[in-house]
Amino acid sequence: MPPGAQMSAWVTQFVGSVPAFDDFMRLMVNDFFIPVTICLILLGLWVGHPDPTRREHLQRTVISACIAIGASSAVVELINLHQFWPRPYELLHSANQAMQALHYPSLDPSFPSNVATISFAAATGAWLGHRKAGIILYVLASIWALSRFYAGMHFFVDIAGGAAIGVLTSLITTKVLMPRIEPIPTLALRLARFLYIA
Amino acid sequence: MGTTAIEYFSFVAIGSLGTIQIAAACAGLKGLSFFSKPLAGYIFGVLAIIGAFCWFFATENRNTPSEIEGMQQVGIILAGAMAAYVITAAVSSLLKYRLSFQETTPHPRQQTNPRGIETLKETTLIGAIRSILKRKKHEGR
Repeated sequence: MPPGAQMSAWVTQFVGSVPAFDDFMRLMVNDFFIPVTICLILLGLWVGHPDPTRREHLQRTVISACIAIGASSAVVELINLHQFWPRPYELLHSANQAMQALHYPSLDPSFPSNVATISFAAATGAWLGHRKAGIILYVLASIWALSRFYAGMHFFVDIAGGAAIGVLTSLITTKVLMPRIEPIPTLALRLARFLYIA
Repeated sequence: MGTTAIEYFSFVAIGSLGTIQIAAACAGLKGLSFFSKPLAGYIFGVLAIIGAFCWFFATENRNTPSEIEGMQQVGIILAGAMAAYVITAAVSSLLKYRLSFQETTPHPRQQTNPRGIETLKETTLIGAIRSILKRKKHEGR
């Protein structure tokens, strides 16, 4: 059993107690709702500023966030070569009930949570360029990750570990990688402007 | 492409279209907005986004294993956003036909540092392409 496994047993027992909350979590745990919301916010950052200098800064922020999502996914793939422990629903009866009520079984390893990794990577990338958008994305990322915990899909250590990987990867991408790969982002933006998409 | 993938693409495209209308209203991009008043753009955008979400999630239970894997989801999101942008540019070019004949202010180094969507504050996408072709024709003489 991973550390803090009792937390999963405790939280998943509440599934079924408040139907309205379960309906909300069923929507949040979904594979499409929050990822699309995050993408629409990033699209809004890409297009939506009246000042061209500030808009370019936000577009670089979005590029950085997208690269961070890719890089953090690659880190998760490497970690997934080793299976640390099974999913909560494979070990705990209450977690299995929760999973069946709210979501469906997943084939990939429990640790780290891919959902937490990519959503926190996107949120950190956005936060480094636009604080308000970043805070909104952090809230969405937290809801998505915690909904997976509530649904018995992940242990708490899985989502905490995934969030840490996402944040760290995004910080390294923005602060270390992006300055070093110039002029590639500048040329990419120039090409995008030539095509009227930036 | 399966039914879920097509529905997902449509969902992303409609949501993106709404987002672009809101962003165009914020940024003053008259050539991308369908409306002359920003408030109309905001309202349309919000309704499009809410409509897309309601349609996608109300029509079917989406908490089931789907045919769409991670990288496919990324591809569909990018395709949906691009489709929304192309549709937005085409529709606004038609709706704001007169704006397409507005002369744009070229950047001194247009070849190496194009203005991009900043041009769409003055004209539509069709108008921007038309201006460039006209300038090249004059330079060629």
